[in-house]
Amino acid sequence: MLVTVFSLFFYERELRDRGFLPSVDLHEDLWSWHRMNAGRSGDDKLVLLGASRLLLDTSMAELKQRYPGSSVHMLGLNGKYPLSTLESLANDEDFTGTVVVSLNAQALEPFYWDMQQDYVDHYEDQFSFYLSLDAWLKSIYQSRLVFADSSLAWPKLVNYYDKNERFMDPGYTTRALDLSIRGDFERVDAERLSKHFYNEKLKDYQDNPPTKLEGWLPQIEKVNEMTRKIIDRGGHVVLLRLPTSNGHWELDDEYYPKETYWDRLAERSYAPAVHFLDIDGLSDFDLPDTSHLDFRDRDRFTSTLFDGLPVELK
Amino acid sequence: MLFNSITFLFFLAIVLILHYSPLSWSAKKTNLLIASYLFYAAWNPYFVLLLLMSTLLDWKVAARIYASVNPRERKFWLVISLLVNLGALAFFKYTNFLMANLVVVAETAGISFAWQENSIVLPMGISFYTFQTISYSMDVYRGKMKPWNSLKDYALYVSFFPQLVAGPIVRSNEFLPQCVEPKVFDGKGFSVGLALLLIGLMEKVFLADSVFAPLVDSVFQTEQVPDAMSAWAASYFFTMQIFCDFAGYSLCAIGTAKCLGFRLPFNFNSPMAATGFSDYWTRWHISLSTWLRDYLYFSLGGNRLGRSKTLRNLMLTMALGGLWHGAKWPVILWGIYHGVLLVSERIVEGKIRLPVMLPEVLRIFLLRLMMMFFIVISFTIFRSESIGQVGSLLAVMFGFTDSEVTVLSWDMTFQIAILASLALIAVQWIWNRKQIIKVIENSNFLLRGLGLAACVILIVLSTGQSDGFIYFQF
Repeated sequence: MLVTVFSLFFYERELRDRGFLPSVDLHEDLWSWHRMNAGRSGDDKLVLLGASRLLLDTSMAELKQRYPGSSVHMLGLNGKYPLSTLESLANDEDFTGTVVVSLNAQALEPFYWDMQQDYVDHYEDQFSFYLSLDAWLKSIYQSRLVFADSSLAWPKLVNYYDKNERFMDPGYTTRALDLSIRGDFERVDAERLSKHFYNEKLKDYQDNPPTKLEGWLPQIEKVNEMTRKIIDRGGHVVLLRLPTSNGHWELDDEYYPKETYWDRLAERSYAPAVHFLDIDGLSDFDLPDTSHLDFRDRDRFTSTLFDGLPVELK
Repeated sequence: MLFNSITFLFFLAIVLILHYSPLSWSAKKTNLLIASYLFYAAWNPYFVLLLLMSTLLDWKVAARIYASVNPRERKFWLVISLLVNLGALAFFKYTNFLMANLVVVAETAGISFAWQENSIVLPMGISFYTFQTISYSMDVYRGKMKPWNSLKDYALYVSFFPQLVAGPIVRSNEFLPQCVEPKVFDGKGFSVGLALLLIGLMEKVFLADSVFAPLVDSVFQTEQVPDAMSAWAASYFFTMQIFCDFAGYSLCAIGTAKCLGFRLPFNFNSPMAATGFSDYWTRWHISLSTWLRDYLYFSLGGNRLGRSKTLRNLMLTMALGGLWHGAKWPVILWGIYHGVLLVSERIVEGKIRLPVMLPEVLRIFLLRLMMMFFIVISFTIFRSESIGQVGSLLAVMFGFTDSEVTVLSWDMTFQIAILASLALIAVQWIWNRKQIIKVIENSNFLLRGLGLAACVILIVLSTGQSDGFIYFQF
């Protein structure tokens, strides 16, 4: 036991000295645990839906401090628009909390509607209390110890060493126990990352061009069906467009002009729809990769954001 | 509940605390019974009813068999047990398979009907606990034992959580007498049990899931036909993976039971050291092979009805053994393949000998190499997703077809897998039939400690790589 403890202790210390931080693996069972907790009855809940911008830009600590009488639940999934999860919460009669949904005009496209459906299906059809509990316990273990991160499992270290002839470098993102993601852009070439995100988004828009407006507008009514269910039974919903910057915002606006898409959503939406340009100061934050915030700015950003959102919680 | 899960650690800790607390032996057995049902319910609470039904059925059947002197009535009750247990097994395990094949046959005949694939959930462990309850009734029928006098003990025998979902298949006359005497904490036995559990977890989490599985999956889970080297390597590594997975599980089960003061039979005995096909089956999944021998092969007549019927019985037993493993054509073919090997061995027994001048060591070496060759082929069949994949892999492995698709390459993970596999083979060839429990009991304290520390470190560093045990799907 002593040999084990000392060996692991020194390995953990070595990893931390190299700049690694604990990070939690996300998979369907763990997400189901958080979804289960978010769905429990009670109107003192704040549930956050969205993708990577929400995950990186939101300070859960700031929200817990702002709303000490409420529980805050992060159900964001990296790279996936959240409308399937909104639908799941809408159909969950027990849910009467507040949902903040981070999305953009593209999220309403029919071909992007079901991006989170695999996680939702897993929760609704294959949920196992035991597996989810185990996933949650494992996430606690991973949130405390760097070596518990699966990206540092020995085959990955060996493969990396084989290709690069050196020990793996720490990544710039880590996932916390509450599922939010911490992005440290001082660890990465932000300019290269910006170009990468811009090019990826451009390719996405070119491969999946916007639906004609006549085809997109009815999607607002589909969103309204979901938000109406939550609001009519005492809950609250806020639709939110988080910032992009530099060339990325211009690209978004070129393919989905705000006046044509978002403003129409805001007019017709049953729930309030808030654009980042509507909140003073939100555009002033630096987004190192044009799309996501550095963790050092999260607290201030979250405070500024929620100052401007129509969210009333204890 | 999986042995390689954090919840199991907490579960086991609670069970052990209760087990060695100052409660009556009867209360402790009740705790173990409740714990075993909770263990099973963690996977799917509804199927606990099926487990209970199988338990109560054979409890009643054995009592009725024993109480009757009329041979027809005794046989009637045995048939009831077989029909209900095997019927349940057939329904849950083979309905999807049969219907899927029926759809294919019907479509060939121009008839189409819909069947939702995988619409019947397979209850975990059903292949194991039904065999245990059947063996209890059959042993009473054959007069090998009397019905047990405690339903609690019997229910614990059927549901005992260390071996409930993937064996070893335990005989009632091995387990039930252990329920009589209260278990007192035995430090040496506990530490050996813990060692077995850790070694089993290391085999599963590190060797099976981290070392071998990624290489195996990259070949078998692709639709492309790999080149010969990749096909041979993946088959060889799967041979190692399935051993480590299943033997690892068995060690976890045996070790956990030992921590509780119970003895379970060993399920593997250096199978890679086998020098013949029948020898192999005295070393691989021993609890199943002996069950099939005692309750199927002997019931068919064994070797008492002449040579041709002996060979027929052997073939049938192995084919049904393959069927037991799963509702997939490759797995059934695997059973038939082993039947052919055993039958062939019987036929050529004594007719072919290696040259007398060969030293014994070299003779054994060559026989073991030959066995490894045939076993690797058998696991190529077993692991394949379809008969088509069996054909295409074997064709490329034996040079009947060619493929340029290199899936596996000589990188560090490949080299580590080779080293690990050679170490596994070496340990088994050197130990041969030496039981791991004896090795642990006789080992130097410091070496044992270092070895177990290495196991824990390897388990921890393989985090995130682990999957369910392969034999859970049977």
